[in-house]
Amino acid sequence: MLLNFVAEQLVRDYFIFVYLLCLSALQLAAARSGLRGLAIVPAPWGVAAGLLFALTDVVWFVSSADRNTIGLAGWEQFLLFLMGSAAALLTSLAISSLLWRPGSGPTDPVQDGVEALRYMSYWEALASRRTH
Amino acid sequence: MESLDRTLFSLINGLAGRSPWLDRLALALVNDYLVPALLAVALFGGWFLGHSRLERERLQRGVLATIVGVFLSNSATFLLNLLFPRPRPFHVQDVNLLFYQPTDPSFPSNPAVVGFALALGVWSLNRRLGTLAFALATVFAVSRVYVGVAYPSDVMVGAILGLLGSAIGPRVVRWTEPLPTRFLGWCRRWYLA
Repeated sequence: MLLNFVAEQLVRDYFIFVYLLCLSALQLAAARSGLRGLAIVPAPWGVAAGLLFALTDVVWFVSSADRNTIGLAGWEQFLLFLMGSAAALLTSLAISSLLWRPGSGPTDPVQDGVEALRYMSYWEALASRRTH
Repeated sequence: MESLDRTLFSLINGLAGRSPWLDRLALALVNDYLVPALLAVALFGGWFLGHSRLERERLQRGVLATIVGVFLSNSATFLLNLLFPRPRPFHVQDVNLLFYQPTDPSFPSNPAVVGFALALGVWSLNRRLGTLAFALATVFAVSRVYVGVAYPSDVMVGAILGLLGSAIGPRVVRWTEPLPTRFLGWCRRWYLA
């Protein structure tokens, strides 16, 4: 059986580990690429916060339990990774939209794709998609 | 060849249990989750890097190609596991076993396959990060020998297989056009690419 998720605690820990790691990676990427609509942490601290958060997450995952046991199969890891990364992306976009202050940066409504997140929050981008 | 492999194995695995800090480091890195997750997260972050649409699209195609490459090299590993069910070192000789006993065949080493396939993918996105990724993949692969669950030839063939899969990935992405372009277009419509 490929998907049996035998180790319940490991499943939970791995999901949290991936979720937090992806959230950190998103903050790093948002800070490096100027995607303000993806950032939870303001740009000047994005890289430092992302690195610190990722490091803390790794230390927690490695030290909180013995990870060298039979646990998750490759497909199980893949599925959990997909879910964790999707959850991190949703969290980042949602919190960033809530924290967004209109008019706090440059505006360029003609952008499409993730480029739009340089100039507007994800919520605003979705709303502009409906009106155009 | 077999005896060279065993000699190399004994050399590396013979170091286990001698230095507590080296054992701890190997045990922290050898688990099935940490290194693959770190490498995959580097790719995930890479999806959103880039300062122009053109650069970002190149990176995103690189991520798609790496996913295809990992899938290809994993499929090849599965087939080789079936064709050459090589027993693990702890089944055939005395070893310093610091890890649990995996139940799948030893050849080729699946962690080496995944590690090197992902590392080449990261390297195609960013050379500096990629160098770090290769270092992680190498330590991950060698630690499998150190803890006594794989022969050096298992991880070497695994590394080659992973690199091959990741190198073929971009071609497969090109062959499957217009699917990747449509997928990226769909992601762009939702402001995700």
